[in-house]
Amino acid sequence: MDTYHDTIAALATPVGIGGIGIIKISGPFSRKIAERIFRKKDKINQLLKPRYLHFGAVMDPSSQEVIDEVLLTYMPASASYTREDVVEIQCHSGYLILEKILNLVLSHQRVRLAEPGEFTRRAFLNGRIDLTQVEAIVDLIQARTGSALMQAASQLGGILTEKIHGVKKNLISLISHIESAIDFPEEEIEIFSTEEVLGELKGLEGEIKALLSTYEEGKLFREGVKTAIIGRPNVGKSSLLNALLGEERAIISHLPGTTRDTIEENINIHGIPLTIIDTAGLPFYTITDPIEEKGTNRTRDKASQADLVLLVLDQSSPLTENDQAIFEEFQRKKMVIVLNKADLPAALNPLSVSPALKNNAMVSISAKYHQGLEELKKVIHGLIIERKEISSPPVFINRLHHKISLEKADGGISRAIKSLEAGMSQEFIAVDLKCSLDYLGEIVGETTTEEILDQIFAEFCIGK
Amino acid sequence: MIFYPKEYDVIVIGGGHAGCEAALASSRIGCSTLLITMNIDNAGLMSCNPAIGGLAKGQIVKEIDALGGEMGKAADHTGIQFRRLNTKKGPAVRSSRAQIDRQDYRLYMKTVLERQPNLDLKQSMVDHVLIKNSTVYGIKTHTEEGFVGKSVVITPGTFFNGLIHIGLVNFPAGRMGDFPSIALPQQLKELGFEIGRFKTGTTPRLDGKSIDFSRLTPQAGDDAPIPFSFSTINQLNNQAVCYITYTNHKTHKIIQTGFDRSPLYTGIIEGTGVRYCPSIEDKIVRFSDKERHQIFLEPDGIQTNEYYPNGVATSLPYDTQIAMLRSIEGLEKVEIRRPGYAIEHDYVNPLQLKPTLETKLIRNLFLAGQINGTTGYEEAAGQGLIAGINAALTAQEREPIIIDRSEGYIGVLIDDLVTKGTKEPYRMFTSRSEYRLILREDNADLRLREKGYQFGLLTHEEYEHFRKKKKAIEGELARLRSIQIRADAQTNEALVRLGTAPIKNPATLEEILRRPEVSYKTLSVLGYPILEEISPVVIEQVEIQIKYAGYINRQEEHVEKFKKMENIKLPFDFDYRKIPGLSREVQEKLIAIRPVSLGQASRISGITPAALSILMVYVKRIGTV
Repeated sequence: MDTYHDTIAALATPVGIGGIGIIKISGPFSRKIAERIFRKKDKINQLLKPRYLHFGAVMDPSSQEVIDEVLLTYMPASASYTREDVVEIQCHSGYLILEKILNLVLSHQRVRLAEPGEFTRRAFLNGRIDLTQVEAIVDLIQARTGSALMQAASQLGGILTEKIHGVKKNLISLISHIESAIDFPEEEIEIFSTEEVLGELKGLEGEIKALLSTYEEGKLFREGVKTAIIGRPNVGKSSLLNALLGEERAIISHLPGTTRDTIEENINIHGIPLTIIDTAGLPFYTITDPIEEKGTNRTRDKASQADLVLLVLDQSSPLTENDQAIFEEFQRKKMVIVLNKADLPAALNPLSVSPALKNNAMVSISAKYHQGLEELKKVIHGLIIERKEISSPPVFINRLHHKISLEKADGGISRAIKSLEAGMSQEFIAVDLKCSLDYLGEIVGETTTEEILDQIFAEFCIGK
Repeated sequence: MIFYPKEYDVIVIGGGHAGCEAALASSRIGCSTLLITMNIDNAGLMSCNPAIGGLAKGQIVKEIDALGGEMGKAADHTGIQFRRLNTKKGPAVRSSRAQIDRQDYRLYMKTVLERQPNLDLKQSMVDHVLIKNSTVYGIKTHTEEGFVGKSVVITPGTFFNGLIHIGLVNFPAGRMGDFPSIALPQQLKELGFEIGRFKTGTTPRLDGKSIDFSRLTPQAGDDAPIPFSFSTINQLNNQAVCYITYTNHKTHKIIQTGFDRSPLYTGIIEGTGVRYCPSIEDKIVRFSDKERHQIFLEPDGIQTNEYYPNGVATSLPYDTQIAMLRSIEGLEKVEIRRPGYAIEHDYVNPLQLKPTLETKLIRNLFLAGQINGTTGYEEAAGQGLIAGINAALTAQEREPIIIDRSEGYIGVLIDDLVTKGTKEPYRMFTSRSEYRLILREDNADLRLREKGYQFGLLTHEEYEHFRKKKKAIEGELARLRSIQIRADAQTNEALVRLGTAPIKNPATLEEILRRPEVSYKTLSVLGYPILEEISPVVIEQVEIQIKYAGYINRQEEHVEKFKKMENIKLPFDFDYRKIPGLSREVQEKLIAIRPVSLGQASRISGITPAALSILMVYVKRIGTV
């Protein structure tokens, strides 16, 4: 907080809600960063005219990969909220996209993630906001911190936090060994050899790297739970998609086989992102139409890769062999049986179906009349939470904070290993280890010198 | 009450390690100073073990010396065995330690006090500090003499309501053989100071002719001792040897037989003990699986055959002390000259102090040493020096000084005390410093000499000597940076002979010296002259600064950030209640501690980053309004 000359960036909009997300960058490097990652549609004039909305794409300069089509605004210090050069990037509000862009921005070495309320604080300190507004700022800082704390609390108790606590405990133990060897050279205490310290460090490094990899694997948060809608033709799969989206995304008709290709859409169910995949119906007959055959193959691919399948049955007609065959093909998947067409006279008795089928969650709906959708969402949510696919609602910024902190903690351990291998004495190792400890502390709470001393005096008989 | 006709700038109460430094600093700054103590002959007396220095403590002694204090010179003059600890580790955690001739040290200190211009010594017991408008203006002794002084420093050590315990016997005493101070702590309590009780202990003192040294392991001093003081030129000599022995299973059994008469385990002692110097009974209880504990037999001096068995501090009954000692190898026939004892004493919650060591309640009143909750001669002396300097500067109506956490362990010590307080006697460790790699013994002069000179605590010769050294270091660093060596066959042959990799491109001597295999002296092998007239201390500094540059620079970057926060000052009378958005808890903490800077505020426990942001915004507002 001592540096007001560095550049900061953060997400300015909540994640997952709303169609667009805004990433805000403030500080002297804002424009440089924009020029590095943004390509205007206007290929001839790449100049970022101030206070104009520029249409273009964010591109990873190292891989040349286009991440998203965006709108970008550049506001020079004289006309910005913070009185610093500000760049705002408006993009599509998907976890993956927002995070990729923010990470790209943060990969610039002169940029760091903004602290809660930091944009406002800068606005004040740079004289942009009147002094009478101080109280409002204070409220804002507290509100943001408050919600950040709530977010943190919702993650506390999570497996990740518990694991970080474990790593921290091991690190404190190692530090107290090193510190006692430094401060009490005349005591008869067990001293770790270089090899032992190295072993401990490698162990810690492994633990932190494993934690970091869980972040990479936590794609459910970022890409959404892949949910495939499957069923025989004309049971109302596309109607279900449209109903869940609340818009007419897929073309529907009473004719079987209207949907020939898969359609993917993102929705958010009680805080959990879902990627819903509407598939072509799987008919029972032998397919002769090559286009249709391609469609059904795709359906099978998508359904088998999905984290969750919604098997749609038409409850206005009896269960067919086709239904049964599809069920059997995907019965190993996590599944919700959706009994559609509840608005029509029932012909399928859910109690009479096979025991295997009955074992799955069943919800009766009418996609056409939007009935039973809330119940369906509840069942889907429950199924994901219960199965521990996601332990709590995702907290995007915190998770990024965690990742950055973990990476820095890992960096400290790596430097310590390097120092040790270069034959440096253990007080040099301690510097980097304490640095790592501070970064872990950013996630799970600070460790004071006194706590390390407590550990030393609890463990060793020291003093004359 | 009769007032003494002479009026002083500074009055120092107490002649221990804190009091001596305070009185000397004040008089050297040019203030007329009075040192008043119960027994002038005991000024500078070491009450516990006859040694100075050790990890982090050695650094403090060097800092005291750099600032113009006396402790380092006294230790060099009266040391009888010198050792450097952690010599296999890096320079930052190497510390000096010396066995001291107890009587010689006391006499040396008394002589220095006596010869010091501007300083009067008087023997009496102070009962009261005189106060008007929450400002101290003098003192009153128990014999009703009044002394006027502009500032007063109180350094009572263990004397405030001191209570000695030996077994179930206890009696009031400042130290074995000295009266306690009763009236003055009572007055402080009435003034609103929060008083707590701490306990410390010391070992029995042994008759040397009853010890069988032939069965013990001797421990000698270093071959070429390095002095504590940057001003010491004389070669130091080791004149004494320590011996090592151990407790055993039988010793531990005997100790347990004394528990029913131990003041510690019968609940008679209420004060919190020093965790870092536990009594032997505490050690065998807390670490019952440890089969033996080390004891260092330390000579008490050259003229005496008394020994100090470091490691067996105890308040067990006298008979248990004898039996326990006689179960130890080499001590089978030992005679105890003076029994070990525990002493409980008052201390003042140091959160009631400013970082200048002035009290927040009474202006111009300073506290230093054990009264602030610390343990150790060096910790006391460091505080005494700062309190003495600030009492003098206050008397002269000048700005007080604060040594910050990046400048010295003295700064770490005082900042910890006045920002976090202490729940047990506070001892310094290197791990308490976040800038350990910078706070070394070897560079204490580079860190603090300028400050010492600025306040008139150094002689002109001392300062000139320092300036020359500093210039030599800078010159040599620049020279090594400027000389480039060619990557030719001759150079590379020499490099390989030194056991280091050949170079492909030209390199500076600085770059070559950075390699672990290369030392300053070996640079001459490369055919480049090293300066013959350069002193070993300069070489040491050049090597350290070059070899550890990466680590040092990183810490210095941290220091830079730290300084920015320290430089955002908070006024003493800042009205924290008027700041909306600060929680009541945070407000109360800030009101209780009244931090001098945003940096100090950030170190108060429970002050969140959000609270700091709010504070920063307000400070900014004050600055711009």
